[in-house]
Amino acid sequence: MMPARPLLELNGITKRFGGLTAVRDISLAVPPGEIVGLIGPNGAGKTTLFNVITGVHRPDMGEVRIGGQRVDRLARYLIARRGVRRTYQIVRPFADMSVLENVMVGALFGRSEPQEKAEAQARAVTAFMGLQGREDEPAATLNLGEKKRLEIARALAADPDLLLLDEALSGLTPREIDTACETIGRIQTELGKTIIIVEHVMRAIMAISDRIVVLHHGEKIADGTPQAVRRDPRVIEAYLGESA
Amino acid sequence: MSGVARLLRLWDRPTPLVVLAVCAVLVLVPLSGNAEWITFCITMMNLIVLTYSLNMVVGLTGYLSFGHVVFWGLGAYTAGAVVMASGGPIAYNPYWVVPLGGVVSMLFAVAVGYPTMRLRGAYFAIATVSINIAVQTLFFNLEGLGGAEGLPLNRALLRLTDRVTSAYYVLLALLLAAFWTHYGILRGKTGYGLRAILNDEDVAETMGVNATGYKVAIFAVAAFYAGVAGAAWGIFQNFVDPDNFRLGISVDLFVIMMLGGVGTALGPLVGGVIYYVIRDLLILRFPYLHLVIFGAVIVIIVLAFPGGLIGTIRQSRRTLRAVLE
Repeated sequence: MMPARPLLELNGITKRFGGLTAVRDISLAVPPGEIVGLIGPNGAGKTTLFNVITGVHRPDMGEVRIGGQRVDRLARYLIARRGVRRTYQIVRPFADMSVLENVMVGALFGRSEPQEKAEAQARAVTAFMGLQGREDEPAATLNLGEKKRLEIARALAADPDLLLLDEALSGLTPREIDTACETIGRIQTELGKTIIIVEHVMRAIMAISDRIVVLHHGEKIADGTPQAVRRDPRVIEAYLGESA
Repeated sequence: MSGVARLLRLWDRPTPLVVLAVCAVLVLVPLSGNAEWITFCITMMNLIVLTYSLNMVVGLTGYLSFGHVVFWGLGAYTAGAVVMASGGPIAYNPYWVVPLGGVVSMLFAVAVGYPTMRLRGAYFAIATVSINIAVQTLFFNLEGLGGAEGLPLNRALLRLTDRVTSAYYVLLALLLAAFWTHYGILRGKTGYGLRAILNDEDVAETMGVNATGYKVAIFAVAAFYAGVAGAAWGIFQNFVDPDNFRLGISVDLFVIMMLGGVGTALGPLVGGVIYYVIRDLLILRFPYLHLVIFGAVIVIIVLAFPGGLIGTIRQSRRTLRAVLE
């Protein structure tokens, strides 16, 4: 059997900011339906990679392909329309809008039109993310965990193929983390989404990822199953420092 | 839907009713034959349409269009030039030229919007003021269009018996149209896109909103309304001059908008009526001090109702509902 064509391909991505190389020669192929955990110490280039995929930054070298088509020269909104949505490390809900209105933006600018269908979609996704009953509250009044769920709901409402979660778990209580992990698993199994998740909460990311990619100083140093990556000496060195 | 449920919905969304009620009153004013009232309402409706135009840009995208009067002036000059060019007796109702004023302003908005709408914050505001002043200076020096002395349009216009009533109903129709446009935008997909941009433009883009396209489009629609209002005003006055680009008019517009409620569909109408009534009463009672008192009143109102009158009413309705539940 032929392996499934990757949904997302990064080929030799390099991104520099002035003299600093944030990511260097990163290649990665993500098949549909997989959860990829992207980990690495602070400043490893994880968020930069998300910014390159979503078109916030243009790579200096290399190419980004979605469904086989090159997207790295496209405007951000056009990349989004290829079925990519993301959440933010520091949450950025539309603060002046209600919970439902936030999710409505996702639905209307995703694959749900007309408006009645979008509203039904938005309500369903809001409930899926455990925010039912909160629809009419201003987004600004939610707590951090709820805001993170709102961002995921807003992204999911667009029915994307690829979902990029930037530290969706950090800052949550242990109980909230368990619930969130379960929800992310359901996004994969029930909704069939492909997910890349950046995370520092190791316990969680090792449990939910099919595969782990490790970045260090902007380079990819490991790529494999959670078990294999956990034993990789280069990964241990990156996290614990060089042994004496 | 049952009758009761329908009534409840109107209580929830009374905006169209309020507008229809105000317009019903406005429709009747010309029948009184009171020339003073008619002129008062024409001036008021002209500024309300112009405030709707400003509110579409400032209220829906957050971009401060301080030089917004430029679109009004261009509409006035467009209508003026066409009516003047037709020379002697006029074989058509001159108000048919009004849409042309809107189109010219709209094209100008697209031309200046593409480069300037990429600027953010104060830079956009400065750019619009500069454009306003540049265009005004241009018209000061365009001798073909009367230069600094201005352009009397056409003596034949003065003999038109329904010149004033036409201006009245044209502006009333524009007011309704501007309201419906704003109201429709707010409730539709475009409104969600624009509010997303207003909240966080970068996030809106990664959600699939074509931010530049939306901003330029709303700028163009807004400019259209400013242009048609200007054209109607120019024909009504039978005269246009570079004063049609006066920056000071923008101050009136911003006050009316903030008085009513920035971004709301009802704000310009409510704000405009209150602004005009207060100002007129003050001029009558305190002919020498009216501007001083007016300034103080504006400051007090803005301090007391930071969200504008509409924002305050909404807030109190929400509180009332919370108490009732």
